Amino acid sequence: MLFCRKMLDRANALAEYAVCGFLAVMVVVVFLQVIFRFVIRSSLPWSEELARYIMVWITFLGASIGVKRKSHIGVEAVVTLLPERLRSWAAVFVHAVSCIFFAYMVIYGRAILRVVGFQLSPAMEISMAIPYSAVFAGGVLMFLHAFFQMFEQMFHAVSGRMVKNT
Amino acid sequence: MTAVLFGSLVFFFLLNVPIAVSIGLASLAAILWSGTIPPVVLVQKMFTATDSFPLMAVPFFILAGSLMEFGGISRRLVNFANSVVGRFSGGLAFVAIIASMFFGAISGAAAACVAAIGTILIPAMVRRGYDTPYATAVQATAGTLGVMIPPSIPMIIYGVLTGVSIGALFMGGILPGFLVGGSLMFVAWLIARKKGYKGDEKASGAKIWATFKDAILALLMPVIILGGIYGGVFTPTEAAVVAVIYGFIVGLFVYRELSLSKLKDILVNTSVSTAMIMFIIATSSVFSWILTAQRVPQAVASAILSFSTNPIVILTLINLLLLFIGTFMETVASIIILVPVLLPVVTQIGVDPLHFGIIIVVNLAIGMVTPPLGVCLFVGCGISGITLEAISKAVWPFILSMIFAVLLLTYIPWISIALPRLAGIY
Repeated sequence: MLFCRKMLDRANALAEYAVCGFLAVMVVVVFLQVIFRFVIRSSLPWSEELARYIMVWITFLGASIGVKRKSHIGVEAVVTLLPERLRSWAAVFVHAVSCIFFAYMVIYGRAILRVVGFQLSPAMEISMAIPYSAVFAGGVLMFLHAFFQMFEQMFHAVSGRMVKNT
Repeated sequence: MTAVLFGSLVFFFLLNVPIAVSIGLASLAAILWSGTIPPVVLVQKMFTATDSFPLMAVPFFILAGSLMEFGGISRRLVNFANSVVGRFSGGLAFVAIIASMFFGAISGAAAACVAAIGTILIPAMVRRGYDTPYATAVQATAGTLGVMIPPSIPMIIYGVLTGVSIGALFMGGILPGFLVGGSLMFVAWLIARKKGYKGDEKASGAKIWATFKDAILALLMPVIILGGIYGGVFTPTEAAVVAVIYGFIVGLFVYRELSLSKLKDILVNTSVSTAMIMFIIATSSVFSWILTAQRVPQAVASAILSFSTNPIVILTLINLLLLFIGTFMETVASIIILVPVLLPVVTQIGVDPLHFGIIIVVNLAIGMVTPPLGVCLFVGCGISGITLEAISKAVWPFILSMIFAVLLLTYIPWISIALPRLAGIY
């Protein structure tokens, strides 16, 4: 348990560095696009495409950090009416169904790579598997975080305590 | 299949499954139920929804706002607003509303606006003897101006969905933003007078000038953003990236309040906030694709239009629906799911798509401050440390004034359309 937590923390720290770097690069690339158009008066052919693919990566990696931080918002109005014990089990259920969705992202995120892997992007002419694999990578991280959180929550539900939702 | 889609959506929502995942799971359930749609569509739609240049304005405007907040810009905006309107009774409430309007002209999100201005002003109001629930309610409602005054993240999403020019939507939001800001100020003033909250001493001309000079670099930012878009120089995404670079330079080299270690946190937090919005967009796009494939919008349109074709009746019903949905649902998801369903209805009765976009954004903004669920209430309560029950009573007069404003701008399209028409961009 402790080992899993440590590994997940480390993976998450890496994801944080990655999105931080990606966002910085995205800002620079789009800013260069503006500069090139106004100052040098010729437009960059690859800047928009590169920035878009970076954003796809930021979306799915960032969403995995959101799962780790439990900061994806839900509708809390009804579960707060449940008695504490039941609410605790409802939280286990939430993690379980989230895992199902993330598992589909992983399976089909991988399946689609075989289809798009042969296509080249219009401007940079890189394999479309590079941007598309963001769905797969983010899916894997989200699945792992949610799976671990499910066990953690289950442990606490059995022992009758709530894991603080922060 | 539509029953599976909506039934499972409600089920997952009620169980507090994260919104993006609820919408994704409901779509997945419908796909598996149909047996004919290959599940790989799920991944493909999620990818193509996020692979968008116009949507890139979302992270850039969030980043610009947070650079401004940590770069010491929000404090300067507050000082300037205070020197101008601090003298009236309930003056600090005016300051909160006006500073939120300034901040709204930099950032496109409501919760960010409450956090940036509220961390300074809620404690300041409480120190001056204002009731804590009143102070929190003023700031929470003022924060919603962040999505009405351009730039605005919900408007970017509406524009991407419908093809209405984002620049025109931005400009259309200016007068409604002033209308809502004005009605909030009126209510704040009424309550302040009744409770006897005094204003500051009148600031001298020299003091106003000094705070203005201090805030000038912050005040220039909206000019760069909007001027760039309307001068035809930038697309909204490019204007947003210029705002980021500007905020970075001002915060790091001019005001010198931004450090490189803060910068890493800002970048990571911006990415995560962006990802949470984009993840909702990704799964909702699968959802709305299924809706469209099942011809649900047409069915809803004919059902509503067989009931009545009177624009006033229909717009009133839609307002009620939006207020109700906005109370319980997150803004971005509401827009992506509702717009494809409702837009065909209103265009058939002659409502302008830009006007409708403003109606939706302002209605959903009210939803951000309606108890029991409202992101601005949560942020406000987080700052002042009061409970949701305490703020729920204090916030009602403000919500009523916003509903009044939304009715005005529903029935008078001129308020939304006049400025874009005048500028010749719509």
